[in-house]
Amino acid sequence: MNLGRIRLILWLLVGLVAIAGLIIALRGPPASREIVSSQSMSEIGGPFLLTGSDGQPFSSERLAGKPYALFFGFTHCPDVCPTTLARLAKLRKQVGKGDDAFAIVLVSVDPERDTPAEMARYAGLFGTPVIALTGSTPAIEGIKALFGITAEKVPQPGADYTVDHTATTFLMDAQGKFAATISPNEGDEAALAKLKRLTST
Amino acid sequence: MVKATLPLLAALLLGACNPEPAPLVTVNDARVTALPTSAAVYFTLANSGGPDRLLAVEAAGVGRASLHETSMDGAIMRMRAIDGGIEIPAKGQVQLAASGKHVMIQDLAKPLAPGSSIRLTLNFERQGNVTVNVSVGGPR
Repeated sequence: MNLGRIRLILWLLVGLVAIAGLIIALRGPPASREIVSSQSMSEIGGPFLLTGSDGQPFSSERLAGKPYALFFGFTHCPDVCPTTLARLAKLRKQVGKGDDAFAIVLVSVDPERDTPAEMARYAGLFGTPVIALTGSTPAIEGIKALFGITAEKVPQPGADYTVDHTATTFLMDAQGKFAATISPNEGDEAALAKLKRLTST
Repeated sequence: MVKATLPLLAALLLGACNPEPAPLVTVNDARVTALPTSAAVYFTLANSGGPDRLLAVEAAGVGRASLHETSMDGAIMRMRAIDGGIEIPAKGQVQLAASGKHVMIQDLAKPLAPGSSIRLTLNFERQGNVTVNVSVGGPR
């Protein structure tokens, strides 16, 4: 192999490395969009004070003694939110320990539109008890930070808006401590196993 | 104005020089999830002919209907209006299903009653308008 050819191969390698570097740089840090990126698992959750669907203050203390599955959503969400809640309702039946096995908690990320009455109407659609919570904007910001989730208003055609938000379900144990998450693209079987574990003690 | 004429023009041009066979799209398993202020419609489009495109939807007297898509960006759920319609390949199938493409109906004139049905008109680029009955059910 002559020197010219070696030089060519070396330059090709340099080019490849440069292109790879560029691709990695353009994609950005891969973990930046993951939940719990800024929080360790044990820091997820904690005491909160919101507003129940009866309009009365709702303290997280009322959830103590029983595990719960907490999900963020909003009533103007026709697709993922009802699908997630209907799935949790179905899985709770499959766990086979009744509605008391764990609570299903929906927290609004759209406090502007989600009045307690709206939350009550929405929660009533699932044929099973759902604790539907809303609150003042600062209160909602507080619980978003507590669970390390994001939710942001996105304008839509017409004077309307939607809310992009973390669609993870948080499983909390009877002491209110973080136990696990269920992601929307996780299969029913894996989700059911987690809920059975959550309710096994 | 430009927005309204462009698809028409595109359709005319396509019709004039597209040698593809005519599309034959049927709408199957249509259901609508009734919620207090909005609704999501799901169905399967089965095409036994040439390619087509679902451009728009209308639910007259029910509410403001539009094509939407839910997508996941990491753990974050995003919902956006679909620009440019939904392509239906020749002899192909397209599913509008939960957590994906769907028809969203906003500003419901009145809450939808489970067990009843609504009429939804689908506007296809080549096949024209198709109106279907969609049964109303609870979330699942």
